[in-house]
Amino acid sequence: MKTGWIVLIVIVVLGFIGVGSIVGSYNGLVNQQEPVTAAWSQVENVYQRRADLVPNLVNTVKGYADFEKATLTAVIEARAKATSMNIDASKLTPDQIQAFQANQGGLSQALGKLMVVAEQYPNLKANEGFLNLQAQLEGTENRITVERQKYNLAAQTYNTSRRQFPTSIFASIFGFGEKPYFKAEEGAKIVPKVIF
Amino acid sequence: MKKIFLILLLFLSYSSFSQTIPKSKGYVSDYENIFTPEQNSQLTKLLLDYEKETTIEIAILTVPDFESDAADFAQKTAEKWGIGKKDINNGLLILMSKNKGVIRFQTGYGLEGYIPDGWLKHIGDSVISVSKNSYDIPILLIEKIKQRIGKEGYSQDHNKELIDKNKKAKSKEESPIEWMLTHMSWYWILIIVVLWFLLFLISPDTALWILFFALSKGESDSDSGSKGFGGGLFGGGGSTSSWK
Repeated sequence: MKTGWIVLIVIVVLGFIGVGSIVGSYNGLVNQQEPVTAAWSQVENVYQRRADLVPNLVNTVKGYADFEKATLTAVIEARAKATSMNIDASKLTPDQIQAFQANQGGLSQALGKLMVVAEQYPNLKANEGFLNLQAQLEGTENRITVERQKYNLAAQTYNTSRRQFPTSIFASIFGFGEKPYFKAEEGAKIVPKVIF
Repeated sequence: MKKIFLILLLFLSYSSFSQTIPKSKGYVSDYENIFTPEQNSQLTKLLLDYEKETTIEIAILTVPDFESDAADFAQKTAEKWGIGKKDINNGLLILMSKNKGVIRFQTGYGLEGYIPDGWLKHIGDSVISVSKNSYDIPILLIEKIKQRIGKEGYSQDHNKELIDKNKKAKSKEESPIEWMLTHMSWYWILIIVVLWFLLFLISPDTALWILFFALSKGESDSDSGSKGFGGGLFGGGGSTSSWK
């Protein structure tokens, strides 16, 4: 009689462990996904912050009548392109992140060129408003680097646990995909050279 | 098991990442030896008093050299040390390197609104143009920063709740049962209860002994944060000034 009970209890326990590991895997993935989504919105925040600086910067620079029109137009166009993308953080794909990176990279380059051209205008360089914007822009670029690193770290943590057994089995059943990474941009840190 | 492995992995990758990050010596970590012992303790007292008054944590680090650029080095150091209170992130790191001729501010998330990059850059440049003295610079900088934060209306009152909550969480040590109830889902608890019951049928003594153990509270370890910092986070904000 006593052994019968024990067998029954063991079966019940095993059943619970089975259900538990499914539910646990599912909840685990949901929990791991949250930091990735949060990190992504931080990435978008800092990029938005940079985009918000651009109109001010353009207006300040515009005041110097002889400033190259083409450089300014390039910045404005690149900004429009960079802010046009709408990305759903929970359904991030490698293609999307690549397109996002390319658009933002376009703005980085246009801004980099603007700063190089600005070097040619001593009056502009002495302008306090411009100096302030320059410092803010530099700070924002640093923030972008940091938030991208943090995003990649969160994505890595999620991807690692997604690939582990037994979670790996349920991940594909419940449709939890891999999170894509930001790739280091080649020559991203190199400021474009302008020869006069 | 999986979690432990993950934490271990994270820890390993983190520690290999941060080989070159110096250890914190408290509010003033003078690795370049640019302060006299009196100056060092005076600065420490200044920053300690400021923390008591506002909860804001300002740390000074001086190093003769570092790899990578100042922004990257300061960011990694500040976040590793956890300057600023947890969840409020009201920390600031002032990195000084006389040898490299650079002063870098690294602003915690929670202070970005009070001391923006543009303002820090301006203050950094203007203080350095007034004085080149290693000790005068941080004194003047801290004075300006305190003024600005005060003027911007920083108040620790709206953070008090958070700080108290964090303190309470730290001081209260849970028993294993309490931890189980707050951290585990119902099915795991059920499994454990059933397993315990099974054990009770086989060996009541052992089962009761385990129950007693699970109900008892552990000793709380008083080590909070690394070298007294609160665990604040940084997002890359700040500015760099040339000190030459």
